[in-house]
Amino acid sequence: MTRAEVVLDASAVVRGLSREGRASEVVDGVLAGATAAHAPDLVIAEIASALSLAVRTEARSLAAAQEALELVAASPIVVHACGPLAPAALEVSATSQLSAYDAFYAVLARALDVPLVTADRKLAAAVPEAVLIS
Amino acid sequence: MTPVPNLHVRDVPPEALDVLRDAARRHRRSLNAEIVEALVGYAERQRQSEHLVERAAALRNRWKELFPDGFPPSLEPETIIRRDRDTR
Repeated sequence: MTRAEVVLDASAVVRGLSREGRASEVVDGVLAGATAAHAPDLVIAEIASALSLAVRTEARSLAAAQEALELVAASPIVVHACGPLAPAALEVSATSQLSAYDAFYAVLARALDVPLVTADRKLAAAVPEAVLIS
Repeated sequence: MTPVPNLHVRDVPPEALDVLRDAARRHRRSLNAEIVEALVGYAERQRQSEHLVERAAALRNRWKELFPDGFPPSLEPETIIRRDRDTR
């Protein structure tokens, strides 16, 4: 049987580690090995940035934020270097409304021919066949 | 000493057996040793993934304690990330 395969963006990962719902089901599926997940290495910086903002602005516990990062590092998400994706991301970004950062997710999903799963409405709306979860 | 159990496996798909035989040759060990190694690796991955799922659930519970009624709209994870993406 073939495993489901997706590209996950930072919003889907952080959502899935924060609250029960569709995103947590997807993240648990990845952690359990039932779903193969990919992401550009940008995802780590985006997750760290979101967690640091949450800690700084709302006194969310630093320990919980560190734990979330450790879980991401230990997860079987396959992280792809941004370098080889950059030319295609630049082209997509230059010819669409996507930022270059967002384009890395779109380009990786297209290269692997798997759906992009995101909790970010704007990204989902801009990427054909993206799956919006909450 | 605890006795080591034996396992009799039926209906192994021939393609899978071919892969295991090739791997055994490459690793210079018996087919039996290759299969045991594969089973040990699978069991370890299962144990680790169960542990990861449990850790994720515990993490969600801790955040639920901080925000029992759900995140305020401005603090939804995707809102924070979109704001961050739009201000780079």
